[in-house]
Amino acid sequence: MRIYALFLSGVGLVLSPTSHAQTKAASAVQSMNPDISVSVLTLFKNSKRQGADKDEPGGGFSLQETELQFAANVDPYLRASVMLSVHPAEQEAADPSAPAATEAAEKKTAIEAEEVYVETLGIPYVTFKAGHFHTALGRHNGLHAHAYPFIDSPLISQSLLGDEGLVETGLSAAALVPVPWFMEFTAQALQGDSPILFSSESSSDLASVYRLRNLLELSEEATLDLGLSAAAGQNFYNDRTNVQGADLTLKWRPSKGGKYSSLIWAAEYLKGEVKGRPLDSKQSGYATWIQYQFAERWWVQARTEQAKSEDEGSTAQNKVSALLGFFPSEFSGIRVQYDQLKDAADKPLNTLMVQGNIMIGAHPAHSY
Amino acid sequence: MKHILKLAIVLPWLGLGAPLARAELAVITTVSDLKALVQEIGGKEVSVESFCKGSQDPHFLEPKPSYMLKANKADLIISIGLGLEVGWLPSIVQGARNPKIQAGQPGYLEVGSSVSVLEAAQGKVTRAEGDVHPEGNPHITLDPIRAGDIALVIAKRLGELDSPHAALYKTRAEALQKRLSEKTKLWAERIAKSGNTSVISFHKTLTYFFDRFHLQNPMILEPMPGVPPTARHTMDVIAKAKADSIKLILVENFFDPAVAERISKDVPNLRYSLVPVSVEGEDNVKTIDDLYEALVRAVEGKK
Repeated sequence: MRIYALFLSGVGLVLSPTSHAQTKAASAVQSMNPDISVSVLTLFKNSKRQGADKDEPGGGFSLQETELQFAANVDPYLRASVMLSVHPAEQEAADPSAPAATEAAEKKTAIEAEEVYVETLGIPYVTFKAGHFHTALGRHNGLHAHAYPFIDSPLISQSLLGDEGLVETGLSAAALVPVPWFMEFTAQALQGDSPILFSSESSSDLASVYRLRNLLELSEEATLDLGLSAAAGQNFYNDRTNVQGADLTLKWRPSKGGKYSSLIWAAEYLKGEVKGRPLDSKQSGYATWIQYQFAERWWVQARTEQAKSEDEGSTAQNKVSALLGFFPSEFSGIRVQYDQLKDAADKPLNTLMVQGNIMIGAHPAHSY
Repeated sequence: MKHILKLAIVLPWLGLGAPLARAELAVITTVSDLKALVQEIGGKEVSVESFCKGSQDPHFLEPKPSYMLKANKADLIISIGLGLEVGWLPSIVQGARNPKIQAGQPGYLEVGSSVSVLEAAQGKVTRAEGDVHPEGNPHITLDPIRAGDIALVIAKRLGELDSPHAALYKTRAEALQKRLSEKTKLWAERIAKSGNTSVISFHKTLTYFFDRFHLQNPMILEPMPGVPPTARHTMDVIAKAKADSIKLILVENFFDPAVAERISKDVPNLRYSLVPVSVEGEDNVKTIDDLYEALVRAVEGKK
């Protein structure tokens, strides 16, 4: 046994210099690969009208989303990011020729280019971006599903912008405005593909988004983020669409003990008009929430929100949510959310969601 | 077309990229130890600011947009590298909209690759081992000898960006290195006399300090890097501390000392000390010398 161990250590000694060099060379070559990461959201959902016998459809376990991310500098001037989203496909209209049995058994998955863009690195004061990206219409719209503060997006974002928000193809310029605090002005020229807001018949009708963001450092420990945004373009009804938004985020993290506690208060308001649309042409709503971190890896959150249409006879939707999050590490987390939605129905809709969130691969770059 | 023309609104900003006539070189460092070195080497010729304050954990800084504004005005950004700032520095550098400080440019300096690194991964590593840094332990500035080497690297880069003062920077850095090297001998003698040969810490922050002064670090309170102490691991630490008669726990002062306090009550003759691990980590730690002095005193049991 001892001889065997000695033999092994001898082999180790002989091999280690070369294998170390190989490892180094291999990692140098690998560093030419883009940073690759995969994030996975798994969801359990149960919704029920108060007092009803049956659950709402669409509940149970599901693979909510798998997101593949690739990012690297293209050359000294450009950085490229590719984010592919794999998620359950939306139910298409049933094909009348297909046998009913296979239709029910088949669960379709879609792969979608959620964001694919290049950004400039070498231009002073302005970042130009070209490609397909989350537009700068408000704060929540810039987030990917795995970074949402709650499991679902605000009601008004869903009803006004659509389930995935306003994601468009085009050009963007984000400039640092030369003032003593952080002020960023973003202007975006977009194709206007959104079926809900734009999709004009003429492909030369571009849509545009503008955003002004201010970050004020109230102290070493607190910041106030204030944003105003607007979107405009020609729509499907051969008329104009206008959307405006305002958002506020207050963050506090003590400089001593900041690993263990922090507080966020955020509010976002969106208002939009799709002129010419027969239903829900004017909508508005807000969401406001607080997040309190009470231990290194734990936080609680509460949200209240409203979305309404100005159509005659329509009822505003009001929702309250509570969330508990536990994040064992930077790379994994589990969140439990409970909502109560009051809408046109007699009884409120109660929803319980549990979401698992993991990320593997390259370390994510956090945003603020 | 008219929408594209609207983008022209931003054109006036382009002219502002030209550097304004400024007397001093504007330097940003990621951590306050590097700031302390730059302050001494750069003197009046350089202005310097650090993103991470001495009381903050440099692994987990939030990339505030206001940092982008600071980076926008910088001539040089100095970081540790080795994965320490990976979660927050890239978005600041990119958001800075400052071509001078992009990776690969003279205005971007990572000092980690210029010193010999401890605990670099020899094979494949996975995050099953916690928040690991495959490139090696990044807390290099806690060794006064390596800090001296880093000072020379910084001086060289400052000299390249501001050649009229290159000789001055070099002289100051050499003086700093010489002073730290002489003091290290005295610190080593004091630590040898302290009777401590083995120290428990919270995280692997002090690895380079322990290595320099021949202190063993047989246990850390985190069961794995980045994982908070667990009850079971704490029992193991207590058993080890008793078996080896370890007399000291050093807790980096951005961590909660509650676990160390509990252990110190369970193990006879074991004391814990909450220590700064960065310049400005405590009010009276104003220079890099103060930092090592504070750590040596903690090992000696003086406050």
